[in-house]
Amino acid sequence: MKAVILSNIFILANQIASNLKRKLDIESLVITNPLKREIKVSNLIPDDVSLVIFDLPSQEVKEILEDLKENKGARKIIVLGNDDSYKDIVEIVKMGVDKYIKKPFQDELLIRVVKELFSQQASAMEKVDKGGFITFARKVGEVWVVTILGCLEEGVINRLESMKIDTNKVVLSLNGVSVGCLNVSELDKVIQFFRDRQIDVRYIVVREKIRGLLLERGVGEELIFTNEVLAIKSFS
Amino acid sequence: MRIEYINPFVEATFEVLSEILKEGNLRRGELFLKRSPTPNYGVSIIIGLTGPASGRVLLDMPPNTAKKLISAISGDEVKDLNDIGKSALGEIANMIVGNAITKLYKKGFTFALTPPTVITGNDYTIDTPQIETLVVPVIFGEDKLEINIALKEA
Repeated sequence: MKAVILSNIFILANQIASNLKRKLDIESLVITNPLKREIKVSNLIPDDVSLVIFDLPSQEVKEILEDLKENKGARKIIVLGNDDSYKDIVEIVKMGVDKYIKKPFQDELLIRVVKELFSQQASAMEKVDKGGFITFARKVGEVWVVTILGCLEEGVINRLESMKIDTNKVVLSLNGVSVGCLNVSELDKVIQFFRDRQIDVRYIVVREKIRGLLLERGVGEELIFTNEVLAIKSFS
Repeated sequence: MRIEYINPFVEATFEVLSEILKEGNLRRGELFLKRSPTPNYGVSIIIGLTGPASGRVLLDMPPNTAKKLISAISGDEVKDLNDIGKSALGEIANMIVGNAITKLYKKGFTFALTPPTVITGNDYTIDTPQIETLVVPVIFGEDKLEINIALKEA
């Protein structure tokens, strides 16, 4: 997980950062004070950041959230509030904040909140891509479970790349792919995507047509399952 | 609730059930509205939606119907609704949702969805406050399933 803390109180931000790094699997954590200089939101919060913690006066929080609203994506946003009015809190929460925590708070509370937010990520909403598909991805132990629903069209590979799959074990469910808009060349690209990265894939497929296409492309029958539990178990 | 949002889920459910059960004698029961939460049949699949309309679609069925569906896709007779069975139900839900979003997309409606969630148990209710729920019963042989659609225009 990559995280950013936007704070104008360096000592507190530093304390929060060291606590998060100690207790959670944080790949990188940046502390920035946006009040010090004019910085674009896109520079403050790069695309690959999945957790943003605000520790700023409410007016600044609102301004940054306003700029961020189009690009929130699956990021989790936590606001650490101070003496904000009820009206401010309501406005902030309505702007896409996942959790508002009133200060002072116990360190353990923030850790618990972050853990809860990321455990909920599997049920986060995903929007239909312009290719007519939705992808869901979540990690179960060492296995990434990826689901494609709707059309299998151009753009799926970009989605797979953006998932930043960090293991060599993937379960890919293709049951939600509509046979009527399955672009076979995109299926080839998906298979090749995993082969190029030497990722071991188990496919979940019930539909005969998709099963047949996989077999024609050299996917072994032993790699095709009817449900996720059996597919994950097959790695052990 | 606009019919354009409802029909894709109903059609997708019929198509997928016909496909996996390999039978064409599915029929639609009489539609009705639920105004308050009522006890569920024991096995539910929930999909959350936002976009032109927000709410949820819930497929609700008795355990025996769920077992029949699981048996149909796994090829083995299923006696218990264990993790493997629930996972298989999740795949059936993926098939239905995948078909439905394709139909919606082709009509120009772009929604955001949650992954389907399977819930089983004897004593639970699922409530969507302030949204009327349209119930579409699907009957096949002695089995039944209800499609509950509760969507509110954005």
